[in-house]
Amino acid sequence: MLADITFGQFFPGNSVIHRLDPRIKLILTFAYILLIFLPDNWVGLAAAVVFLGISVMLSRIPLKPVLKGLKPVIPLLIFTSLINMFYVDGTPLFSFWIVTVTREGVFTALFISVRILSLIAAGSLLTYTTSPTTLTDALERVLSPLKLLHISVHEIAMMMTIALRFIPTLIEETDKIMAAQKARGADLESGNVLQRVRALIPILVPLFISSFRRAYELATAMECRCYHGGDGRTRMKQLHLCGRDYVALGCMAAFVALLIVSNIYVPAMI
Amino acid sequence: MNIIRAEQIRFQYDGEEHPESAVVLDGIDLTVPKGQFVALLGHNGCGKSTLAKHFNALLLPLGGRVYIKDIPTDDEDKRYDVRSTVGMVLQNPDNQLVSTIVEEDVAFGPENLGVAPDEIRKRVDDALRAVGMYEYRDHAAHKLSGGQKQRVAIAGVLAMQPECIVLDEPTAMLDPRGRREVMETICRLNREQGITIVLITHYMEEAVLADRVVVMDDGKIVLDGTPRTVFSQVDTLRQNELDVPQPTELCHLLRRAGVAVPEDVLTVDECVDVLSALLL
Amino acid sequence: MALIETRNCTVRYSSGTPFEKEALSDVSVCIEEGEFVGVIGHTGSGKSSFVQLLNGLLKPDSGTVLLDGRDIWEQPKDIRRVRFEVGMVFQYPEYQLFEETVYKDIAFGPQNMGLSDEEIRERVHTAAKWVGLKPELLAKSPFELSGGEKRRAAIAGVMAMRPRVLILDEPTAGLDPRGRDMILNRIRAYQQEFHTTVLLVSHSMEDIARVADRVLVLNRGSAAMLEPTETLFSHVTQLESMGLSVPAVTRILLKLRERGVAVPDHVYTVEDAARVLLPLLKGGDIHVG
Repeated sequence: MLADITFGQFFPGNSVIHRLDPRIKLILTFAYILLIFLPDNWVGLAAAVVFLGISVMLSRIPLKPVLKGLKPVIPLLIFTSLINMFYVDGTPLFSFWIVTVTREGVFTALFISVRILSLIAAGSLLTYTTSPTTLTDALERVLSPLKLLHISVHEIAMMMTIALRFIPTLIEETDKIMAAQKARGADLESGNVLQRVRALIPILVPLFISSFRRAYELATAMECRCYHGGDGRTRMKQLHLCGRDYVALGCMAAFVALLIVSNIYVPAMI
Repeated sequence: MNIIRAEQIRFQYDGEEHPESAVVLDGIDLTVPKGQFVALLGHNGCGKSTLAKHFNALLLPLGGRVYIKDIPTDDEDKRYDVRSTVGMVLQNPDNQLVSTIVEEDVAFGPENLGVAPDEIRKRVDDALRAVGMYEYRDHAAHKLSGGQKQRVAIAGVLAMQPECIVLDEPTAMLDPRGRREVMETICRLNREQGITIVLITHYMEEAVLADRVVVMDDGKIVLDGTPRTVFSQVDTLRQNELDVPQPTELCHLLRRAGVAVPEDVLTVDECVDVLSALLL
Repeated sequence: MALIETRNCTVRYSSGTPFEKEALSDVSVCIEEGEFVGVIGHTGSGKSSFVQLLNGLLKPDSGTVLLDGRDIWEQPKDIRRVRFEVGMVFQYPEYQLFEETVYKDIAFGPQNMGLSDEEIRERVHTAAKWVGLKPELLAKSPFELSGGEKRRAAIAGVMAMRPRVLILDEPTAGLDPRGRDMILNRIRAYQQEFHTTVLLVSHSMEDIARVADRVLVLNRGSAAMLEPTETLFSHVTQLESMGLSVPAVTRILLKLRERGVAVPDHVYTVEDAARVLLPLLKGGDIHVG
């Protein structure tokens, strides 16, 4: 059933990682995702993997969901690895038929794979340890300087909040509409592609109409509660940086330093 | 002191959007004093929801004026004063909660008003305690029962510290238990915190709990008085296709058949007392 | 033979997970052809699961559902046919309207049954008449109708399939007294005309008292009572212990009995109450209009 889908997977917990200020988490994750492309040698790459590994351990998230999140990218990894192995020029390792596998090619494939995997694991760690609302809130605060460029940061964040709030409601509604149309003999399971798409109309039309109705009512409710955009708005939950946030920032700084030093002193492999 | 004062208000919806629209409000005069619990009755389309929307400036009258504590609702500079004085709870509990988490939703109103963070925290906790939902403050809103969602919606309004709450059929979509929860909450807020209540409902057993019952039909007020005087007008209520509480209806039937029972019997116990006095 | 029957039906949600919950446990209920059965129970009592079992939207984890003595899951591929015989009107059915015109929406079910255009036209018009929709509304968009009309159009959409069993899940929820009376009266009249078996799920004892011949009370996933309406309300204490209220007149007469007035214990409408009280009050038989 649709209701079994868990959205914005969040594993509630009380670990150090969970308790980090969401703004810091957001910035550090973003920084990590950029930095993972910096190292060109095994020391830097190993440091990046270890840094991430320690973070996952500290979060006390079971390893299984983290690994499961990586599964969908495996075909992509295999594809890019093969391309890299065959097309990067350099010292040939072996060759057969018309292709030659080079030493540089293997390393490039390896580096790219590790980078993509780390990038996704880091992103999942952020969503696994931060509730969607907190994340939206952090995003609004981190991006608030963009207001100077006339980007409506508050409105975007409010839309995300509302979307997250209504996803479960709409999933439930879809279930109900499907049951009701099935009771009128709607056949959703058989037929060719065209027939199946057509069979969705009795579900999609009521769903759209009800979403508009809900949106209209919600807008009225928000107006009743004096909503008038982001200006002059305060927040109940204040975010304050504390000890562990500075420690996390320090760790990140040390990690950056290590990457730069290793890039200078350790011979590049790609 | 009057919280709401409506003077000769007239309203009709825009002809283009509602081609068949007739006059929805036809010269309504209504004042609601502070602390009163008013039930507003009438069949669908009689104009009661439209009237309610005039009480917090969601709609502005085309003729006449509405004053909320002497502030005219068409004063744009004071719009948020009006809306925080008269809070509004709507029918569908699913479509008025903004945030995923209960306490964040309750904080929404005061956040919009620019209240200081510590004060919001306090108001949110107080409001959730007042509706008996404090234990659920960090729960996901969509997993609550209908009655609980509606109580959270009431808390969301309470956190703006209103003097009056207008509820537009808050129990229509609830089961009997949810209905009871919501009605108990409304009565308690009225009794203990002196909050003025305007309750729109179709359920007579809810209207009986009010201090005053106003019946509308066709954009006009047709009956206005205590539940006892209004419900004794069984024939007028029937003409307006409204229910009458069963004890009142029973006594009405008996009176019509020539039995000397009073016409203003409202509750089961009163009815039992009246009948057993005659029978024993 | 019963028209529709459940034998030892159990339904579980989220089977095999830590959240497993029994929605219905060991429910055996027999419903005869042409009966009007009220189904009552508070939220979570298993009402919705029970009715969805009858038209094959839910499959029992154990036990069987019999229609005309045949297991409806005998041929899982034929379950759609069962849904045509056991029609179901869900709560707030107006939110399922989707077609361009009311006519097309009511015709959706009959069309899925593969009927001829002529047959469909006849059925749509008859169904619309039964729910009290004027013929000129059929050409309109369903979204132009009033709330009560939308609800009735949606009910007509199921009636047009001419099911032998018609199930309505809270058909009066959220309506005003006028809309509620209209729908209950139309359903009752339809049932009497076509001898359709009707199951009406409701939270309102007053509604059920008005229309049902028998009442099924569900409590915590079990069938707690299945009784003729006249005798049901004599079990006031039992009903109240299940969180259900009895109509106010029933309570009035019960309290009079407690005080020693000789009135019967199975009165549940205001008219009947007046009828039994008048002779006692006036010492003679008087007609109540």
